[in-house]
Amino acid sequence: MEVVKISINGATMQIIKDSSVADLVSQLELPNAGVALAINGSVIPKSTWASVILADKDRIELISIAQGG
Amino acid sequence: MNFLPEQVTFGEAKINSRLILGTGGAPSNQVIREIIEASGSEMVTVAIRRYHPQSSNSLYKILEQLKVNVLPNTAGCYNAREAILTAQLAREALQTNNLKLEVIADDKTLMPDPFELLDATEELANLGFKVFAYTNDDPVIAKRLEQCGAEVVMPLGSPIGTGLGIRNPHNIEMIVSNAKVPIVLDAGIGTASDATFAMELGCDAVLVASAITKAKQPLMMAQAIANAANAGHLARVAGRIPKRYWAQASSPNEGMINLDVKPASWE
Repeated sequence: MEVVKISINGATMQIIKDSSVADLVSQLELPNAGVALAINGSVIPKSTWASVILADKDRIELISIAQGG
Repeated sequence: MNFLPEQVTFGEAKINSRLILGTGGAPSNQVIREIIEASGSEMVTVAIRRYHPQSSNSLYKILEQLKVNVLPNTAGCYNAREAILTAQLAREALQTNNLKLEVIADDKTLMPDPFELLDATEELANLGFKVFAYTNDDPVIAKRLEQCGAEVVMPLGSPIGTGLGIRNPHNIEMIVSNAKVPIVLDAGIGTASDATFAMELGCDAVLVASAITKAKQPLMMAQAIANAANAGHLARVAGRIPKRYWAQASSPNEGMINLDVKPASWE
């Protein structure tokens, strides 16, 4: 099975080629709300997660909320 | 009769309590829950950080259960570019256009960089964000932020985390009297009387984090500051008396007892 290398919050991860953002989100068991992500500096709206395919060397920032003033 | 502050609109939120609670520095997420309940605050700020399975979910669930308005911030951003991406992620994660915009210049003062702040405010307002702009206590910058599209202007009383109170009350008064948008005093509050003072100067709310989360008894301080902010607002609306130089008795002079004058009929 062919894989691609991506990074999530600075850590490298391998994922099956042609996986979508939705596939990744389900693999990571993320909650339904309160998270968001950007790929290579662009925010990917939740409504497009199923159609956006991850490419080799994509850099993903995955965020949620934390305590803060 | 029990007077309460009237409802106020900040961006997309309508709230009654004049305390916006910053969650930074709390000993645990459970304490945040208790502080929100103790203070009656209806709007709380959060930071946007890399996802962490345990802590991220726990805080999100607490805020969802309490049905408070969540105000994400861009704390830690040093330029407009970082702040704009953080803002877009925040909107996507929380489904709100409200945003506390912080663009700081350095980590020693944590004071805003006005140039980056103005650029980011204008761009985010054009993208449909309701920008709550954290700014210095400079009346000129405050006005410029309003003109760039800020929905709420949030001048500091003193640097973040110092608890030094309001160092330049006259500037805060000028900002308030010149503003067409709500003014929230952000940063510097150390105790309840600082919150009252901010409200007496005409601010529409106070944003408080460290003074509550780092108090010896956070819940008690949360209630004290919430009450103090409401008290200051009521005092502002009720109207303080003009200041005088010399004393002026409030009791009437007429009708005083007199030990020296005898009735005329006795002469």
